[in-house]
Amino acid sequence: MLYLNYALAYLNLEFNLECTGITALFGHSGAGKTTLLRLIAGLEPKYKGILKFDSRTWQHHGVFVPPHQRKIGYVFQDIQLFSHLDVSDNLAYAATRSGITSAEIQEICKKLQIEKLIKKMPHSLSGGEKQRVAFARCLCSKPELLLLDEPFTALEENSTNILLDYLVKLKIPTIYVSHSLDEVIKVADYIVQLERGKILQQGSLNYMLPFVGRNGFVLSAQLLSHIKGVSSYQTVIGTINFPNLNPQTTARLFIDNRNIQIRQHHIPAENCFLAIIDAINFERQDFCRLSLNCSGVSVEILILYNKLNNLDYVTIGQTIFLEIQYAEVV
Amino acid sequence: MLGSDDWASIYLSLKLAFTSTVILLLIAIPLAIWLAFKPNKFKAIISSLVTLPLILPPTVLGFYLLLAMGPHGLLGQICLKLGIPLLPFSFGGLVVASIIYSMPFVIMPIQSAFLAIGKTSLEVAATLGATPTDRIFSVLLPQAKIAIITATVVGFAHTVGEFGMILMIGGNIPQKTQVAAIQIYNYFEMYEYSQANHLALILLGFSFVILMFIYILNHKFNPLSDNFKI
Repeated sequence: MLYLNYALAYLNLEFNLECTGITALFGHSGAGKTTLLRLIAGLEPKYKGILKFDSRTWQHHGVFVPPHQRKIGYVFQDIQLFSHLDVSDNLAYAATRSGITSAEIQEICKKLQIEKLIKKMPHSLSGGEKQRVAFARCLCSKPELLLLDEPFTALEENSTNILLDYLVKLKIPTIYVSHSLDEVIKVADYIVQLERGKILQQGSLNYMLPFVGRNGFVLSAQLLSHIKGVSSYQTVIGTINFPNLNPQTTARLFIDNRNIQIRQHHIPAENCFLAIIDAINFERQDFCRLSLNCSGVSVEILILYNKLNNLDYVTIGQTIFLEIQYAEVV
Repeated sequence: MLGSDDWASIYLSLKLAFTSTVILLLIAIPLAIWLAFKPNKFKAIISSLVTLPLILPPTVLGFYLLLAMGPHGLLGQICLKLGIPLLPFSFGGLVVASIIYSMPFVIMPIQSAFLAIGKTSLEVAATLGATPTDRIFSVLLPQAKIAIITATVVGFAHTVGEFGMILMIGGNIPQKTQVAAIQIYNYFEMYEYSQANHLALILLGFSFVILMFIYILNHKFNPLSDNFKI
């Protein structure tokens, strides 16, 4: 649990964060995302405020725990490998101070595919390679909290995918700053939306997606089969089958609201799932938000108000059926 | 050929340059860290004072230093209170004067290198578990290695080549304050051009070697030097 309370001229924040999975800080440039990360890391000691992580107080009145004692891993936006050290020494820099074993270092190198770069100097690496090394070095410091400041900006797709896939598998609480909604959808469990130094709203990925401009919801999925171009994915709400779905062992499926049909009765078709209406909220003039419980999974759907008027069976507590007509792997 | 006084003056020049450079580095590196990274309202004043010898005539600096080192000056008073001999016309006086005179030549390249490295490198080291002192020795100084070597060599060479200030503070005492540059002046005044030439050639060769060393060093350790073509 992370508790934070700062009242600065351009950053006025007070919030609790579960800090269990990956939390994405989302917002425009100048919203205060990087400042927030720096405050958590202890890189802005001149600002007064309260900061607690789990049972430890990092900042409060006279207490200020310096960054080297916080056990955080910070991947900066501008990649900063130590130019006087080769890749192996860059990793050793963190490892000797955290005490992780060489076997653990090798494991990290293998996962991030940097084994062949180990004797290279930073200036001879590509942008993507540098970022993977910076990420590996950060993990070598055995962090208890990961802070990532737009780590994938201007990286080639291959490096981004390697890092994103590994990030999802890590069991380290992560706070992750990104401009890219696609990246956020791929990895985030929780979204905090910032604007001009204030929190606009925060919530689970599916709750927040409509707020950040994506009307739909995300499901974690395991590939069951891929036969004759049809991918079958197991999700928490049931099995989803679609042709032309990119087959990945583990994936996230994004279902756009435009590809959902709400039905009163079950139809004998694939990809049709039962849901209970938990709440109906009017969001904007012409839209309303349906909060659904789909086999225990919270799903938020924005639908046109006019459309809702035609669906007289859509009431709180009512059981309905969602027919998913298309999904995409993100 | 060189006589015993000539060798003594060369030895004195090197001894003065070595002593001054070691003390200079011990002062310049922490001062450069402070100037580069610590926000302070007095920074402009300190920077101006440190770089003043760069544009000030050596005679002006020498004159005020001589006053400060005299029995009524601040440094002189401190010496008297500590019970140590006054600094003018002594090797100690030359060291103090050389440190002040060569300070900008040492501090400026080091400070520039620290600014170029930037504070993000130190912040990265902090998040990787390095203490403030650890960050300086494991990140800042190794990355500024070339600048520190350059500053050391320039500071050393600059001290060897000092003349005006040495003459004002140290006078021209053989074996004590008579450095090589002053010995050349002595020969010149006595119309002993051959002797002056021998000693001057040694200083010329020394200066050339020093400059060549700096350029080779910068070329060798600059990773981009081979790739950069106009």
